[in-house]
Order: sequence, then C-alpha cells, then structure tokens
Amino acid sequence: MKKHIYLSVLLLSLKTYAIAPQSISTMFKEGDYEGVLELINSSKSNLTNDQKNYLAGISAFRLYRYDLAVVFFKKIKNKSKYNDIYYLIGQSYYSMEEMQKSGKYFKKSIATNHKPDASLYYLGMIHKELGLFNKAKNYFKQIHDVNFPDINFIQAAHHQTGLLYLDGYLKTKKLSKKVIRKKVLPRLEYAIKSAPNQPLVNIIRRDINFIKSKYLNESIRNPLLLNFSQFFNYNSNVIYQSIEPTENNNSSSGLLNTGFSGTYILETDTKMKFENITNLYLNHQYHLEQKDPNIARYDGLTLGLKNQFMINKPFNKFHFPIWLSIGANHQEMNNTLSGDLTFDNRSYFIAIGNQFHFWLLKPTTELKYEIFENFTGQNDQKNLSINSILPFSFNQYLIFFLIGEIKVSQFVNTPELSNNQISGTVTHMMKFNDHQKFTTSGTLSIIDTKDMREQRGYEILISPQVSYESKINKYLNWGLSYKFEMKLSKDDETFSYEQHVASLSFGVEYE
Amino acid sequence: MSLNNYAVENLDDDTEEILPVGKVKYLRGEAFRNDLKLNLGSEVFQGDKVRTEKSSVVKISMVNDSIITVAPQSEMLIEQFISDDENLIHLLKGVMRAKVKKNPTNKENSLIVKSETAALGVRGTDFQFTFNNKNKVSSVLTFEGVVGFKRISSSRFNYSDLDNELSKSNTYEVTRGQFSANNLKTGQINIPTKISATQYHALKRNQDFRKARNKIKKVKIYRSIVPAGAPGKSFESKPKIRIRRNKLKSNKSSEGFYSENDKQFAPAAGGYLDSKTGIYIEPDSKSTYNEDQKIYTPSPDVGRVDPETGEYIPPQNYELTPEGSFKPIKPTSEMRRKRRPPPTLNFLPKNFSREDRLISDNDQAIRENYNTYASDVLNNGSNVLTTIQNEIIQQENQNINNQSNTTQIIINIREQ
Repeated sequence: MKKHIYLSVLLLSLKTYAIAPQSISTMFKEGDYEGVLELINSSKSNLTNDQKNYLAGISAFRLYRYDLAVVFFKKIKNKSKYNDIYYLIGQSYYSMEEMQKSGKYFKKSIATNHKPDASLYYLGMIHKELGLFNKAKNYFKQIHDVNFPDINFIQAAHHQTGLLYLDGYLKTKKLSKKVIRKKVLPRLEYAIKSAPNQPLVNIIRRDINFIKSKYLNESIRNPLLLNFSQFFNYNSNVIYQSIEPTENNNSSSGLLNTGFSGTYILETDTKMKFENITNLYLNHQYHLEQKDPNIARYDGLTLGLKNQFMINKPFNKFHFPIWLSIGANHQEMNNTLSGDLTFDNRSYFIAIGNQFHFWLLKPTTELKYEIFENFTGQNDQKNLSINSILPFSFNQYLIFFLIGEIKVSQFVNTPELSNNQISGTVTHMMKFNDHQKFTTSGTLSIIDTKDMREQRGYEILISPQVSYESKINKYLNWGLSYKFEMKLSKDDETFSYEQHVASLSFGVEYE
Repeated sequence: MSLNNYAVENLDDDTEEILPVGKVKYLRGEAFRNDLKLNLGSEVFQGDKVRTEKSSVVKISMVNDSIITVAPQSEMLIEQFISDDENLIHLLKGVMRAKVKKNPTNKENSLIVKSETAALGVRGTDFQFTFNNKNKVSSVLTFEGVVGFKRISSSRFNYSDLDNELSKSNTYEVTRGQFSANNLKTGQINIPTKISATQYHALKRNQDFRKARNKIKKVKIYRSIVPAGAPGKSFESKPKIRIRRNKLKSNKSSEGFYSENDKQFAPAAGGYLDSKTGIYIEPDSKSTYNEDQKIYTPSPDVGRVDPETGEYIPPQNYELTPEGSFKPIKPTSEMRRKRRPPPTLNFLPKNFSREDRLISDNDQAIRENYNTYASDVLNNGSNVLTTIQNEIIQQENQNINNQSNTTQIIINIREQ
C-alpha cells in the first residue's frame, strides 16, 4: 500500500515537472517556492538536511504558510550557521498573532545581532498590540537612541511613539487637546524632521492632519474652495404687536436662495494667513400668507466680499493670532408691487481682532466698525462694537459658546433713534454624530435709548431659539428651527412686540 | 510540416481548395468552430472563429508547428494564417496561450495576436494573452522568449499595419516572467513588470488551463508580517545562501515607476495577474519584499494565487469585478460586525509615483481608537476636562522614570 502511495506521488511529481526538471536550489533561485516544497522530500539532491529545511522554510515563509515555515526552521540543527531563522520564526509567529512566542524569538534575534533594528521594531509593535505601552515605547526609544543605519526605522519609531501617546491616553481615557499638542503632534513632527525625504513622511503628515481634524477640530482645507448651495426655507412669522395684542401680523414666507461662494486661503508656513471670501446669492422671497398687502415678493441678489489677513504668531513665544478684516456687502432687491419699495442695501466694515490661549480655552475678541446704508434712507447707521466669544469645547460633540457684545449705534438721518446696547448670548451645540446637530441659544440685550430715554426707557430684548440640522448625505441637508423674540419697552404701545418664527429648510450644497 | 510544403502537396487539384491551418490536438469539454462542434483531430481554417464553453479547453496544433490553447469561455478568430511568417489571430474575448516556434525566416513578428485594445508580435516564445471585453483590458504574460506589445485603437488593423506598428521603437518588449497590460482607467500600457514568482511558475506549468484537482483548499490565511510604519523592504531578511544573478530580467523599479514627461509607468513588481479580468493586482502596503527576485509579495489582504493552477483568488468573500473593485459575494456577519472596508486597488498612473503606497499605515487603528474615544467622552461628559491636568502630570512623571539607558536594555535582552 505504502509503495503504491509512494509511486503515485512520484509519478505525480514527474508529471508535474516533466517539462523542466530542475534542482531544488535552481527552483528556489527562480522563485518557484511551490516547486521547492513539493520536491523537498522526493528529490535526490546533494543538499544537507539543514540546507533542505532552510530552503523549504523560506519557501513556505514566502508562500505565507508560516505554520509550515516554523516547522522547517525548527528542524535546523546548526542554528548558529543559520542565525536568521530566529528572526524568521519571530516574523512567522507575529503573523500568526502568537505575540509571546514571537517576542521570544525577536529577542533571540537581537542576541545574535541579526536585524536588531527590525527586531526591536517588532518588539515595540508586539507590546503595543498587547497594550503594554510603556514597554513598547522603550523598544522604540532604543531604535532612535542607538541610531541604527536604516533611517526608516528611526523615523518609524518616532512615528509609532507619537501614536503610542495617542493610543495610551485614549485607553486610559485621559486624552486631551493638551496631550495632543504637547506630546502626540511634536513627536510626529519630529519624526518628519528626522528624515524629511523618506516616503513615510507622507503617511505621518496624513496622520497629523487626521489627528488635528478629529481631535483638535482643525480641518485642513484646500486653498481654493468653491461652493454652490441652493436653499429653500419656509417660515411662519407671527408677530404680536403690543398695540393690537389680539391681531397678529402673520406673514409666512418661502425663500429660495441660490448661492455661489468662493473661499481662497493663502497660508504661509502657518505663520501668516490671507483669506478671501466672495459670496454671490440670488434670492427669491415669496410670501405665502400675508395680511398686509404691502408686503411684497422680492427678487434680487446679494454680493459679499470679505478679506482677512491674519498673523498667527506675532510674538515668537506665544500663539496669539491677530487679524485685520475688511469687507463690503451689497444687496439689490426688486419687489413685485408698484411703488417705492425697491431697495438697495449696502454695508462696509473694518475689524481688528485677536485670540488668546488661556489654558484650554481660546477666547476671541474683535473690534468692529460698520457703516450701513439702508433702502429707506432713514435708517443709515454707523456702528462701533466690541464682541468677545468664549468657546468651551469638551470635545467635538459638545460645545458651549458665551458671546458678549457692546455696541454703539448712531443713526445718521434720525439721530434720536441712536442707542447703546449691551448683550450676552449663551449657545449650546450638541452634535449627535457627524450628521446631526442640535443647537439651543438665548440672547439678552439691554438697550439704552439715549435721546428717547424719557419716552422708551431702557429696553430689554429677549430671544431664545432652538434649531436642529441634519445631513441626509454629503450634499443634502434639512433643518427645523424655532425662535421667539420679545421686546419690552417703556413705550409699550409703539416699541414692544412678540415674535414667533418657526421655519423648515431644505438645502443642497456642493463643494 | 510547414504550411508551404502542405500547400505544394495539394497543388494537383485545380480548384482553389481551402486548406486547413491547424488540427485539434487536445480537447476538454465543448468547443466550437463557427458554431460547429469540434472533436479531437478536427481541422480549423483561416477565417474560423474558435469558441470554448465554460470549463472547456481546446489545443490546436497549427501548421507552422505552433500550439495555441484556448482557455474556457474564450473566443478567437484566425484572421490570417497564410504562410510561415505572416499570421494574425484576433482574440475576441477570454484567454489564449501560444507556444510559437522560432520561424526559419527570422521575421520579427511571425505571429501577431490582437484584441480591441492591444497587439503583440511574436517570434519564438511561450506566452499567455488575455482580453476582457467588458473592461477592454488586454494583458500579456511571457513565459519564455520575448513578445513585442503595443496599445492599438482598433481591432480593424490588418497584419501589415500591425507589423509596421510593432516594429516601431516605442513597442514594449515583454520578456520572461513579465506582464504588460492596458491600464484600467487610461487604457495606456504599462512598462513590462515582473509578476509574482509563485503565480508565474504555476501558470507556466498549467499549460492546459487545468482546474485545481481538488477544490481550492481552505488555507489558513495569516496576516502580513509587515507591521505598520516602515517599508516592507526594511523587514526583509536576506537568505543565507548564494544566489547568482537572476535569469529573470529585472524590473525598472520594484516600487513601480512613473514619468511625468512621457507618462510611461510601471506598477510595483510582484503582484498577481487575474486572467478573468486582465487586471493586475499591485502589491499593497503590507507587502513583503523578496530581495532575490527584486519583487514584492502582496499581502493576503489583496488575495492570493492557487499554487496548483496559478489562478488568482480574491480575498475571502470578495470577487474582483472587471471595473477593478472588490465586491462582497455575500456579506458575512463578521464583515458586518467589523465593518471592514473592502481592499482597494491602485490603477491611476499618478498613484504609482508615490512610494509611500508600499508602506503599511495606521489608518485602521486610528479610526478604531477614535470611535472608542468619542463614545468614552460622550459617556463620561464633562469630568474629562477637570481630571486631565493632574493625570497628565502623573503620566509624565511615570514616563520620565521609565526612560532608561538603551544599551542596558539590550544587554538585558541578551541575558534572557
């Protein structure tokens, strides 16, 4: 029976290799590893058993049959002659995910001085996979401390150390923006500097961008961004004027807004940034239900331009960005009714702002001067305001904003309407995921009516609002919002009012 | 017997007799000549369309002693076979293999094989030619000798047109162990590149397009030995045996090549060639490097080859579409649970210029970590910020304590 099996195996082998009978070593040199494995036991050759096992082991290894490779390598008796087998067995066990055994053989490989850099790297990765981050870090540290000739490993070790911080702090739930800024990113940036021309640099840069955008909310944008949006909004605007509290002035409307915007950002070495934002909107506003016949449909366009120049680090030691921005907006609207309701609306502004870094907070302050030229010619204004925004961001899903503003408004044609305002807003934004956002905010303003103080006194404006936005896919989004506004004035009949606005919007956006 | 001798022997008859140009030497399954069933010993003629069914193979011994084997589900047209040295075959779809003897006239392209998108000129050689009529990719793999290979814009060219074209200097010479094919996206032909040594040898042996004797064994698939972060080349351990200069012609560059000037490109060497689609599966970022052969060995993530037949086997539960993507055959519960994206392949020449595509990266790990982090933070809420500072200081102190002398650690390892 055995003879039959032997004969059939022999015949099969002869049949398969009848075309070009070759020796095992020739087959190996030609890369015919399957052939080597099939003939290793059936072919006559001058090779010693150690040589056969070595060739068979490497052949199995190169065919991804790591279990078989380990068997052949372990059969080799003269291990000092073939000292690379420890490394190969270590690699085989690494691939078979037997980490303890793999680590043992890589240590033996280091002891025989065969590929110590790669072996240390494997030990680092093995301990990283086992969750032993400090041990892993020590192995990577040895690679860059010893300064091995293969610069790829030194760079990779720095890279992995940076990622170890990320993994380690994530695992212990202690990851913060500070850890990312002080430990993770500097190490990754150092990895780039250690060998700036190696191909791994591209991967490290991508990791840095990924970490910045995911953990620090710093997205890396293309210098030029063109955006097209089409947006439909239906709102039910219900105003209760105090003079006639029982009769509301209901003017629900539909607004179709088609917009093009272009943003160009020029950033030089992250120290200076120039940003140009150009917007062009085509508006069509249609009032669906209106009690006041003088309320018209409007068609028109809005053109906006904003240029901002920012210096990120005006002082060498501190990250203290300051910026100067100038802008202009122009709106032209034609109504569908006859009469003098066509309007032009223009505004210009200049602002100077800065941002502090205080612990984990980044408050921004901006001083702004605006000129409004309104359609009636009666409400032209000059405003000087200072506002401060203080964001509290626990993570990208839970963000609070505190906004404070002091504004001095001067009405050019009707100076008696000039006023001073102080207002505060609290906004809470919660992202359920990358597609859904729920925002609540409340604003309280106190208005000093100055020349009309006797008649109107200090007026109070209260305005809470809630909104929900959801992205259906990359291009489509929809949202719901509700806003309540109440103004309290001493002259209750003329200047007090309540307003409810509920709106539903649906938009298409393409970048 | 050469074609000329064959013709002289049959001159007695005045009528213009159509002479056979070949004879069926081997037949498996069902094959047809112009819809007539072929049998062992059947003759084939110029102008014949030879077609094979699923699991069928026909081997034709031509009058000039060449042997043409038509693989399953293939179709070829013997467009011109009139002399020893000016023969034209049109592969309409599928795979064919030809073993062509060097002709006595020493004409450069004694046999030309064309498809809709490429043509090859043969002197004496053994090669396999594939044309997929869905994605229009033609590919050639040379087992012995040299094949001239060129992209063409139409299959209407006749022998002399193609002979002229293939004699020009910009024709690629595909030598032993190399392949060349149309790029899936651009249709451009790549600089000849070495394929996987294992696949080359298995395909070379499998002259009759035999299927695996047993159903493809369920082999345990291990992960790649290449850990994230460094090029696969750095982890290669050179075998401790003397290897003389390899007979296989070395590649322009193992990592691949792309020239901005003339748009010539070559994918990284050592990948797998899929006979069904004609697509070349380039070594991925977890590939290992084989210093002896100067080729990469793709990781199991992008599939493997059947060592018996040389057939490319896509990753488990996926199939390779002619459009060049991996499509799940039937999503398994594990795939759903792990939400692992299918492997992707590079096709655009511009990707070939980036060497970092051959470095295994940490993307997946970061993504997994990120999800854990997001859910942790959402669960723990605002406590995160308040406890951070103290813990950072503690962790930093611990790290400083853990930093010890490098040489000391190496010595410790040696002692173990």
